[in-house]
Amino acid sequence: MKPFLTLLLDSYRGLRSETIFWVTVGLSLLVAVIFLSIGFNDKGISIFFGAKTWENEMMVKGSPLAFVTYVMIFTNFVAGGWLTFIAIILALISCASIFPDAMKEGSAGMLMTKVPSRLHVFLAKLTGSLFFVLIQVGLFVIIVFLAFRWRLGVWNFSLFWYVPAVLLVFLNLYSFMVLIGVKTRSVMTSIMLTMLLWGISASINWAIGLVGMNYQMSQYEYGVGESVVLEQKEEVPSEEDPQADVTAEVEVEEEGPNDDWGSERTVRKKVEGDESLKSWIDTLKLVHSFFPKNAPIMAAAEKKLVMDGIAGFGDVSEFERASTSTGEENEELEEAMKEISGEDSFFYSIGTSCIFAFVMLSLAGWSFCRKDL
Amino acid sequence: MSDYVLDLSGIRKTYRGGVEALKGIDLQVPRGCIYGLLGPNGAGKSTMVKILTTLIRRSGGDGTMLGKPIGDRETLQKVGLLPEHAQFPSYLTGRQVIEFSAGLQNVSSGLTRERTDELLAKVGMTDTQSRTIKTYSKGMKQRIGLAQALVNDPQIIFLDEPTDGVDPAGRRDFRALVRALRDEGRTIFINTHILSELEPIVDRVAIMTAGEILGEGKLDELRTEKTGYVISFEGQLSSEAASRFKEGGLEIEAGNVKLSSVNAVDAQPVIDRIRQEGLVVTGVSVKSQSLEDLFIGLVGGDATPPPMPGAPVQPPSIPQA
Repeated sequence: MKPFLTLLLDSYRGLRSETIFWVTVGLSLLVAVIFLSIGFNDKGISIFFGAKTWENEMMVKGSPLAFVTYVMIFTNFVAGGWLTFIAIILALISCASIFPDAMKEGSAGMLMTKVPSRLHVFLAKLTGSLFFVLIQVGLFVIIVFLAFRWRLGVWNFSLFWYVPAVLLVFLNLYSFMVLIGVKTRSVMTSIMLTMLLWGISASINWAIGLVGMNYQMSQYEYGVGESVVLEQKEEVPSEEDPQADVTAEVEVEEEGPNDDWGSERTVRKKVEGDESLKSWIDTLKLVHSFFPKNAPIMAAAEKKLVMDGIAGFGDVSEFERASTSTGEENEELEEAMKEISGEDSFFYSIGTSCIFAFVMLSLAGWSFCRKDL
Repeated sequence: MSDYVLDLSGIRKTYRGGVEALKGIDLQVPRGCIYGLLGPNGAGKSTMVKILTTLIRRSGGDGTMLGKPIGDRETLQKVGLLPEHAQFPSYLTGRQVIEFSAGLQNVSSGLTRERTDELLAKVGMTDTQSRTIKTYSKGMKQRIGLAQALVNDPQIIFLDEPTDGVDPAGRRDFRALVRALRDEGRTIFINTHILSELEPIVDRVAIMTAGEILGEGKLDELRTEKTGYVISFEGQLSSEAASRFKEGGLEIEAGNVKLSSVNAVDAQPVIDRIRQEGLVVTGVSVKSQSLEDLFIGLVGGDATPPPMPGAPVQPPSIPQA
């Protein structure tokens, strides 16, 4: 145990000695404090601890809109921008040199010729890297957690879901970075290829959403009409495949504003979708199954935050009154959005990402243990 | 318990791409000696040490270190290593490097403190122990490197180019320290190409080139193969005497006749013949072959390797007048 702890302590010392570590900590704190400085008062929303206020009577302290705004600032900018991208990029850069440095001729002689096996060294270095991210994200989330309490008056423990989420996203990318670092012993190559992997994964995810949306749109024909329901066919499952997509059925629904407004009613007719688009989606999903799924993981944490946040808001009825849809409608909307974006289940995203990280780390560990140094 | 701390048989290493770094090394290193592994760059010396310390996987062969198969992790607890071009974490102080090494070798905290103080004093780094490694000179790093190699109280110590970058005073201290370690019963295995560093302290050497050991044994034994009398004289040898000396395998150059024998009896006929020529013998000495001569003789490729120690040595055939 002592050798393992010695390696961990050294990892910590190593990171602490790097300028980028302190830059990351500093930026992290800065972002957290800026978020902390956003608040609401009797006049509206304020920033920099009340130094500047934008008057808005809808967004006064304690109002549902203030709550929604604060959550949205966090999810869109703080979590979506800082935690999902910048903090992870900085963490990857900070930790990129750990394995290549350990494998340098002179360093390897110091590390790998002692009691701990190479696997122990590998695991200790990996644990040290994850510990670094844990400290960064943990501190950040604690500040944000306190900010939520201070500004909204709620203890939103769902914020802490961001810690494992960010750790998993980091681990996904870092596992690949470690593999490249161990194979090439080049810090720059490992950073570049990891960013490329991230870019490809994000692009595929984006493409799935885009093609999925087009496919959904191709399933409907829109027109203008007066009748409420033109035609409704009973859905009969196919004999060959009872679970087959119901898009073959033709149904007609109504949409659009009420006639009270004097406008014409939009009629939506469901038709068979563009099959070529569907095959594209299937292909892209198959390819994406081999990639880490960072966006869905962060989206899961965000969903947890929003849902639990609403529940923890206190006067739910007030929130519901402020919202335009019921809980049931929300669920329907969520399902529809999920279908449109081609979003996979939470467990699929987590599971395939964990498998990805495990495979990458296994390959990296195997190579690390067997490589001539 | 075996008398050999290292007992290797047919150790081979072929790198990817087919480069044969070691071509079947057989080596036995006795306990409690200073063992020198000599060879030019690329001879395979560092590869050998790396195999013994698990940094490199061998392609073939077998062997034991301290009685256990090579690569045994527990055995490494009794091994110290100062690697070539050692790179210690630059953010650590000299003291922390030694403590780090102790931690990796599972040395208890109390013992680590005690040994670190002792070793810092031994390598003359007590006053500078709190400075970070990045502020050290190369020689200071080597001193700390040596101290960290000793913190686990090793039975065998591998020193790869240990005096590289060390000043003359440091080298003298290093030699004294290595001798002291041997006197404590430890085995010190030194890889170096600085032959003059090794010569005063080494007990046994192996001379290696192109992945093969060309000569191995006690330094004195190896030297015997190439030492002999040098008879100096004033004047000019007759052409007849010179040709007869050459026929007898003697070397003649600039008023000296060299015999490849340390037997005084073999020198007498040569001295007599020089006197018969009417020349004055100005000196008779035994030429001791330096380690460098030995090394160049073996590695230079200008001669077939000498017989291994113990093989019969043919005395020179001295031409009679």
